[in-house]
Amino acid sequence: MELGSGHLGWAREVALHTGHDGGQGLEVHELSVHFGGLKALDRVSFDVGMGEVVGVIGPNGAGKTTLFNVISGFLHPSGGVVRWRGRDLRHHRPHDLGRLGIARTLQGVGLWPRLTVAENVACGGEPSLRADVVSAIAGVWRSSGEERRLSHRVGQLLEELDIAQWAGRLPGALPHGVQKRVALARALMCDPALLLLDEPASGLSETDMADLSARIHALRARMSVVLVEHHMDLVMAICDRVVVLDFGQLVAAGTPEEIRSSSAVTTAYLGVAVGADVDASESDHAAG
Amino acid sequence: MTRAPSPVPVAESAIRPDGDRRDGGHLLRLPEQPLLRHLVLMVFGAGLLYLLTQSLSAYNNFQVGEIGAFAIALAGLSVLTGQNGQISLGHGALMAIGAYTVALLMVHTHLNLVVELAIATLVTTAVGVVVGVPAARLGGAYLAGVTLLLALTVPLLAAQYGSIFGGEQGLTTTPPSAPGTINPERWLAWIQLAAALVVMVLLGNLVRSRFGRAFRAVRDDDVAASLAGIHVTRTKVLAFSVSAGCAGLGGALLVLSTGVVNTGEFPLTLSIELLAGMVIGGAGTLVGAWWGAIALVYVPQWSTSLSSRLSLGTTVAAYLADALFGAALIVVILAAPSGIQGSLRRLAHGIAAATTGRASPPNPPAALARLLRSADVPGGTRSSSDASTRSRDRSPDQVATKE
Repeated sequence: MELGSGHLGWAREVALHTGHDGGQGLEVHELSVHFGGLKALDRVSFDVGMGEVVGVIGPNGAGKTTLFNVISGFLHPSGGVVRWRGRDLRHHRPHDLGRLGIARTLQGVGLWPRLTVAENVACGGEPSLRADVVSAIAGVWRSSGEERRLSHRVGQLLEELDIAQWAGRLPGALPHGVQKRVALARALMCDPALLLLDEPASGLSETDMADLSARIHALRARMSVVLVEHHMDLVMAICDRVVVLDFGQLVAAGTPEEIRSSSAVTTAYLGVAVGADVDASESDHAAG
Repeated sequence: MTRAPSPVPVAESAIRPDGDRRDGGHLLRLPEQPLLRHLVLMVFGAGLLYLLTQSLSAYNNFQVGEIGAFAIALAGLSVLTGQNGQISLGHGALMAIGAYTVALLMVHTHLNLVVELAIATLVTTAVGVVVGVPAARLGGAYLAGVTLLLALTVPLLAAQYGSIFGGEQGLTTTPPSAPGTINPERWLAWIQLAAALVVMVLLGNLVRSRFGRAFRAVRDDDVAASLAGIHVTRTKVLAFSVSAGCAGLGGALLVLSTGVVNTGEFPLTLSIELLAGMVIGGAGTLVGAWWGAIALVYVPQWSTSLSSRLSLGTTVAAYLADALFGAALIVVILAAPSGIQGSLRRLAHGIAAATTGRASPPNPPAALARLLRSADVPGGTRSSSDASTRSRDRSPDQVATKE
């Protein structure tokens, strides 16, 4: 706690300086989440403009996942507000996200183990489906025609992500990198305008990581992306801006270059003593 | 939205379960459109059952009709447990509600039998909604608790309000009168089997729709399901109320065979037997419901004849059927967790692989395999262990924050 609160005043200043005019994107304003006495998030503010890629970094327990849980409606904030396209997200629930144009991937892969890859991805199209129970039970066109269109869309997306050959397989037996792509495909099924990626690179090989980096880069033409990630080189390479959380507080925000040179960030991560080493290694990654 | 679908890159069947898909292989190619597919199967099943009922004696027809009634209740339970992962300990009570409803309608009104059966189904579906909503909101194993309560209270209520429900004597129902010279048992069996086939088609459609997919997604991981836009509570309530409606129709049809519905007819043990029958047949499959129904009709009969042959006391005889169900359940869970239907399917795939001389993984399904024949589909077979080898890689803090 001591560490985080020490940087508070400075962090606010940084946030103000780098704050974007995100009127049409995501605005997180003075967001607080308290679990009893624990402040999982403490007056965090930042915003994400349309088409921006923003990285959220910070040590374990910094509140990154809590932040995602508030945006995706699993948690309701103790204070502050999340605004999306100018609208307050106050009482939304996770199943409303698709209709709001927000998609989120989960830590790990979060796929359904007993559904095929194609079924997993098809479920991501749920927000666009309109067939009612009666037409589904009767098996009439309203339901079956919609399913036909859905399967077409699933096929396109599987092709796009180079996983079409796994369509009929169960995800559990597939390579981790393929599973992660299936999870991404599921999130993209609802054509989101905001994509929340929770540790998209965890467990990926170098090749898969490069592939992911290229994909996120391509996605920015269609949507904003917020990612929580521990792989600094990935974050620094693909993000327009980076937000640093520590003990629930925003300790820094800025461009990757600004974050890299920020002493507060290295302190938050590793403490002052080894800060110099981190700087060196991060410069290496940036070069590559 | 265009109504003219363009060529489908991934076979439509790929986004549906291979639940009880019959690939048919080279013998029989079923249409891909679910309704057509199920209607073809229904006509096929109806032909088989017609020949069966024609060749059987009156008493055997009576039993085949009972199998049809149980198959409906078990199919509903199978969708609930196998597809949606919820456990009901009160399906016997839901059958009782259907049975009492149809009996009350027969006593007090003169409606058409089909209308009476439809009303019984709707009433039980409504009970399913009333019971399912609070249980789904509480989540976890609450449905099992609430339905157990239902199983305990329905017989008590029926006894308490004896003036309405006939108390221990119960209510008597009039069997449907057979037209012409048709043997009444055969006619009754036809009614029950026809209803069962229609229910199978409807449940098959449901399981292959967006709702069936949502059932399975919620079963496997409700956090991921809600993020995908699936309303978890609504999905659970839908699964339970559909399943309740099936139990009600099954009970209503069963009472046509027994001719009487009373407090002793639908005990708590029936609910347990239904669960056992569902697991033995194969949870989540509609064909498996028929195997379970056969067990539910014949195991008590065998246990009665066995106990009289062994001259066991009446107390032992009364519980022998339940003991047999329990033993069968243990054997199935240990030896063949996917039940009779799952074992048969694996056997069929084994035979197909042996006769065609090629490795034939049960998955991907035939249509998909055709589509992907040029693609690199690894030859590894899919097994039930696929699911179990994959652990949930969700961090504990995230699970803790789910609704």
